[in-house]
Amino acid sequence: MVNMEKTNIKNLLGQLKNIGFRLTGTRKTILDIIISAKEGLSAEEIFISARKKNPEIGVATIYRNIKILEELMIIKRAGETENKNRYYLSENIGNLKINYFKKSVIGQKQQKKAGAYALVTSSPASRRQDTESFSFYNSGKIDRMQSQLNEWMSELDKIRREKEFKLEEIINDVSKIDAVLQKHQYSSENLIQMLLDFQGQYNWLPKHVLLYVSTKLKVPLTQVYGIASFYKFFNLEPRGRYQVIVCAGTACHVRGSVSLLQRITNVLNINPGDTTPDYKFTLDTVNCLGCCALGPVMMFNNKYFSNPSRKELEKLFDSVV
Amino acid sequence: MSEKEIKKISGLEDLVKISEKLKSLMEGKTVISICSGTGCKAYSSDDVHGKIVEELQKKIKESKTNADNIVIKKTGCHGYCERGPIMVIHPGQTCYLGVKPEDAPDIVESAINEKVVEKLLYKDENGSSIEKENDIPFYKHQQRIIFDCNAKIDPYSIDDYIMIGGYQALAKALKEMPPDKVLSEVKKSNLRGRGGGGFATGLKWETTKNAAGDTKYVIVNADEGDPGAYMDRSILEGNPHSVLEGLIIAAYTIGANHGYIYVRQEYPFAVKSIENAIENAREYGLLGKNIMNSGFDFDVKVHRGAGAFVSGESSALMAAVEGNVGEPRLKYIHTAVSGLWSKPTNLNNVETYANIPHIINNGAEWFRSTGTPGSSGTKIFSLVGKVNNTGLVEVPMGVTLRDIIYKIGGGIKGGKKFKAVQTGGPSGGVIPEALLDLPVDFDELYKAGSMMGSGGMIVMDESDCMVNVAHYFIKFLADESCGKCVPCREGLRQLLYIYERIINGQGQVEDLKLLEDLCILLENASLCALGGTAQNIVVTTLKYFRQEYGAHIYYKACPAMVCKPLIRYEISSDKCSGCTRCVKVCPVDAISGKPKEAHAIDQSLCIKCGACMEECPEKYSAIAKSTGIFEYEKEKEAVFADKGQ
Repeated sequence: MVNMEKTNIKNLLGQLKNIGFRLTGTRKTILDIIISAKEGLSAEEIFISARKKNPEIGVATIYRNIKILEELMIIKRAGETENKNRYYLSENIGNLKINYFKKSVIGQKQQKKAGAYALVTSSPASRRQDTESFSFYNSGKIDRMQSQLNEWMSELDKIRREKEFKLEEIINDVSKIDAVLQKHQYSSENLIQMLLDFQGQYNWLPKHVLLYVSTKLKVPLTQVYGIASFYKFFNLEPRGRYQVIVCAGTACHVRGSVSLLQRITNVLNINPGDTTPDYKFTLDTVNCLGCCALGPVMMFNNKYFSNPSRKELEKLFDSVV
Repeated sequence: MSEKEIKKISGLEDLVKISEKLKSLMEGKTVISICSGTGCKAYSSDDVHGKIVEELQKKIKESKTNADNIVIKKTGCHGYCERGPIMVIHPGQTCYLGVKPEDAPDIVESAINEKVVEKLLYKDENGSSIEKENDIPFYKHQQRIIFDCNAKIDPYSIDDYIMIGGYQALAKALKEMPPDKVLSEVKKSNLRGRGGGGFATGLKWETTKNAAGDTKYVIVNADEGDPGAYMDRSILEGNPHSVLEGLIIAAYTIGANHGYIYVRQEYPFAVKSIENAIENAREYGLLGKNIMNSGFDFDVKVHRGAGAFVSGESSALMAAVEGNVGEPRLKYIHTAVSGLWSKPTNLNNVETYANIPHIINNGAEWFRSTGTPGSSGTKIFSLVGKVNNTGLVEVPMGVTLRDIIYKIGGGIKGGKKFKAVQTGGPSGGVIPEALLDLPVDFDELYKAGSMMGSGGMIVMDESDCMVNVAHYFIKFLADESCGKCVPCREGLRQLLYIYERIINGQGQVEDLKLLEDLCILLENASLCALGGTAQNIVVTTLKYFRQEYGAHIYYKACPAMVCKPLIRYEISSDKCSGCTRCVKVCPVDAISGKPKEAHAIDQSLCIKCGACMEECPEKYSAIAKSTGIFEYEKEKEAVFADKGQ
């Protein structure tokens, strides 16, 4: 057990706040309980005590915050009694600052490497992860605001690009769309074939095309979107001008396609499935390119490359700039 | 044919006549055939082709004797992808490997003078060269029935196919055999579906044939989604007419007038080749109304798939052809009875259809003479992974895995130790070294816990982590699960969580039991084969490589040093010369150090991408990988003696 004077703790918490750690009411309550306890408490006991102070507090909140505090090394878990973890105030709480700073430094570095668009260009799943980790490990409010701002800006960028289809263009487009529909006899059983043709023409499926197809074929828009989102080949967002395709087939996997993908991710600063902010490159993986002898293989600009090194990749991507 | 005196073919006599005529035209000519399968294309065989054509034209201009006697052909896949681009010169069957554009003058020159370019020939381990294609070990141990024609014909020329006896089986069936007889022949041949399940083709045809209704359909399943398998694509790209011929015969037998060929959009050349084949066949009267004056009408349409692995399942594929989302349905009524638009539908794999003309031409007895009693005929496998001779191999059923991997495949790459072979794509399992003498056929593989699948054979060596491989397949399947049934959607996701836990070094002892339980659930409760066979990879890796799971869980070590969270990169301060190369390539700036001083990796920052190890010059090789606690090696026998292996 650590016996620290309350004032000291308060000072420490004040410091914490300066670093950028948000001291919410719940966290404060939990810390108060742990500090004033004579021995280690289990999460349930903390919950019961916290309930007395603030009846609106939920058990999930307690668990979540305990986890956060533990991650920040303010409290530590030690020993199990009756299958319950017991929590104490961390003994080397002085190290907290250092540990915390270390983490925030990583956050900064990664962000710097990944460029200003890092957060936005990642896929929804990893974006969620990023924001989660950033909210704890980031060095402060400013960084968080910055990244949020970047996210919004990029969203705006996307919207702007979509808007680039001006009304006249859409009207001109109609004849093009009709030509494709005509080719497939306006028959709804050929819907997938039509969408394949549109994907080939536009490199993605713009909204107005889907709307037009839906009205013309008298197929509900939900069905059109259902198909467009079910099949992997269709994209509902604009793609980059150049596609970088990495084979993730089994043969390539055992020969090291994971490292190849990692290398490309490092060079292009985007995750698989995403497009660079300048809409130049889209990085994709496929299940098999059918040239297993070359594995791990990458396809770019209709050419195959067998396990290119970082330097070769940089040269390759620069060659089309 | 250049002069089209016979517009529509009306029977066997016409076909034989054309074939004879074409053969006589080719008499005495030297054919340079260049492989332009996907593998060789990746090695830029198109450039080689262009250069050879250019070179030959130069020679013709110089009016060299014999120069106009040379014909250049772009053929389909020859199978030996490892040594592409492949070139075979007929009639001598001289085989050149790894041809480069700059070799073109030599090749043309020697073809004219009927000589051989020594440097491009296959060299055996003694250094002596082998000239003929069939003498090369890779080809010598194969028995090529379906694949044989690939190397001989131009896939875009129907004449080439007719020249080697194409469409004669169709003529024979239409003119001489009533549908029942064709069916009994196919049944007698004991041909089993080459797509994975190994269902008897004759039985399938019979069900559809006997099903009630006038409108029936036949479909070719060319939605080859298995990673690491590309034989269907190679047949479609190299010899599309053989599939078409088999399809027309099937339609005639069943009584279908409409057919579909479902090809993946990812195979643009296959789409092009089959569309071209259909058009040519229509011109010759081999498709359309009243085929060969037999009164039988049949036409076929190509449907491009838009990339969904589950769409290879029969009911899902039919939903996709109907223009819907390709999800499977419950098959209490089989698709053979109620399939496409609720009409009886026969669906077979590309390779199955390609076998049909051979069975009709040579008879069921001939077909049964190859292979094992349970599985007759040959099967094409794509032999890939850590093997010396990557490529497509066609062997009779019943050949042992050892023969395929060592005799044809030439052993393991880099002299490493063999660990396992994965067969059957994501639905199959792994087979360990102890079972290498297993004869390969549908039933034996099933007994070993794996399956034939579409014929992918991924060879793995000692540097592959089996837990990682299982994780890879489960991830693949979890991504591809359509989400319609809960056991598959949620079961695979839970499997994936457990695997992620294990490879992240957070595995728990109970996880192994949990994996096994989930497998039982998946096998019994899934709607279609995607979930139902997902357990194969888990069960076989657990059965044959349990100690590797143990190492991950108990010792937090990855013996093959693949699982990133369990390995670490370290710089040996004795060997490091301080060249700062690794410092520059590190994407997270985890390496510190000044020039001429030994560097160090900050493990808390390292993302284990391995860039530094690749960059470190070979003369220093200062960076080494290590994993977990090595006591594992010492203890593993004692600990796992009672657990499986």
